[in-house]
Amino acid sequence: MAAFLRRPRDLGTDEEARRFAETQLTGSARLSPVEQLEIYREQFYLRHTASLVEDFPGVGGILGQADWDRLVWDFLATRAPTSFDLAELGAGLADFAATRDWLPARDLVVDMARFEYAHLEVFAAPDSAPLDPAKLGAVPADAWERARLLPDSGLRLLALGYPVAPLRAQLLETREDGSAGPPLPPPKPVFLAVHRRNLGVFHDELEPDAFALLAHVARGEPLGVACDSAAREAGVSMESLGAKLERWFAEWSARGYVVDVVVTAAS
Amino acid sequence: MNEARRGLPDLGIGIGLRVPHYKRLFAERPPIDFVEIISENFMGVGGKPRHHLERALATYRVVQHGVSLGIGGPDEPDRAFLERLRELVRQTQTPWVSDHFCWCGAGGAHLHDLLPLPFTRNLVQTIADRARKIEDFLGVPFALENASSYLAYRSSVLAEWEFIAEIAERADIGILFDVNNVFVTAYNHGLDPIEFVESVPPERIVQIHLAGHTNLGTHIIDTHDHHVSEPVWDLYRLTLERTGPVSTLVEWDDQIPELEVLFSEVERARVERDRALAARGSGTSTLDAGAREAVRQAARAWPEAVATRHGWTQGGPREPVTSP
Repeated sequence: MAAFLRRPRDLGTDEEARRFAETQLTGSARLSPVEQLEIYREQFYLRHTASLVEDFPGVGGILGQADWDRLVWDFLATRAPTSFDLAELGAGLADFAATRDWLPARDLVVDMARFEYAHLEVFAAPDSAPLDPAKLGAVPADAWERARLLPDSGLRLLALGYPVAPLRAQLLETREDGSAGPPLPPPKPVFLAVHRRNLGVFHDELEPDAFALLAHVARGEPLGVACDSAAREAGVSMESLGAKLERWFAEWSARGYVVDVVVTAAS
Repeated sequence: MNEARRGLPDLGIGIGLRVPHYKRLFAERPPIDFVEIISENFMGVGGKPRHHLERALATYRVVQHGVSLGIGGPDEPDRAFLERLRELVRQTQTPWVSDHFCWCGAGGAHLHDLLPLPFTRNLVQTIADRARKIEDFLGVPFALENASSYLAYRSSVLAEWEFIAEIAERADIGILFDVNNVFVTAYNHGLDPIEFVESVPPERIVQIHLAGHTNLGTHIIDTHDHHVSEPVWDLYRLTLERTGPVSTLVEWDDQIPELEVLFSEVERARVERDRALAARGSGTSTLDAGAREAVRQAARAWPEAVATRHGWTQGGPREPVTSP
């Protein structure tokens, strides 16, 4: 029966569903069996599309009503929700959108979906105590290379191909005042940290080398290894990177990106 | 088992804790007997939901109610879900925890709905076994609520009231009795709502839900977006005349009004409750034969549709993600 409830079309015109309903359901004095089943099918779409509209206003704003409807109905019919938590409903939307060849501005839509879902993930992520600055100060100079910075579990790092954050703000604004939507932006690499501070969800744009280093740090690499990798990926020298470390660490700890520093014993 | 409410306390008349009311509830702290939270809204671990839960716990007596367990589904209840639920139970110190007689999905899919069950003997045993284990696992009294339904199965061999009574007895759990759902289900399936109320074992009822609904003519949807209807007030009194005082919750989950409207509904519930308990004390009833027949007639009537399409929700809107 669950499969019928996820069918995207009215079950009244679905012969298989009608046969199932007549075999399994009683109907009532007022409704036929398939009409009873249709109540639940319709509700499946009403509830889940409403949830996705709420969670992905930027994606909806880019696509417009018709393409948005096509995308989310296709998504819901193809991928069953698996979590009890409706906030996780859109977890696979970006990946799904990436597979839809018909989507206009597909790469931009995918980036927007990733950005918007990151907000949902961060919103109710576990709380962490802020990093004690004294812990950073207590790291011996010769231990930094093997030190690991622990990221906040609510930190999400996004390397995107479009400036989705200002676009989303514009789309929400035009939705509010009913004016025409903004023009879609051309591609531009952006590196974002989405995180929570004082119960609010924020995003910061990072320099490419800072983003590369933070991404390696967030994977649990010791700082020495992380710096080597980040410098190589960003195409900068270790000296150039090293000159920025103090500023970055101060910013990261102040913003709550990192919540602890762990120094393992020298081998 | 003859002890009323399974020995659980009568907490009075409460309201559902819903996002649009957070600001005023936590700033003004109006007196409320208790608030009911939807467990799933607080099973994340941090951020605003946790913050607001802590404020609720500091201000009000909190009771937990769930919408996702799907105890009658083909899959066994999810262990990870139950562990998170148990953690929340520890945090809230809820005097009991409840969910619904329903299924929510199959094969790992979760449809986020309270889907109706076939009332079969096999399922009685399955749900009773699961309910007993769940109560043991959670370490707190467990109750299941009769859900509204919009379809019925040919395979059912029991009346709904027989089904829920049998499970409650076998599992030795409580019943969260939703009198609005009784009316909705009676209307949708041509049942007698009076017989429903009078057939549920009163000593098993640990909590009552009241809510509004939407009549579409062909069927009623349990929308929780209106005032409680008059026949449902009648069923409420009839229930209390059988049970004695039971914790009662006014639910309003869609088109959520100002607190004053909700509080006026709570006051109405208090008046109806007092009437019912007075009648019970004097060995009479607030519903004579004519009044009972009027309730039955309301469940048989076929009014003009007030809408053609309507969604339903449990627990009100989710808390919005704020971004600067």
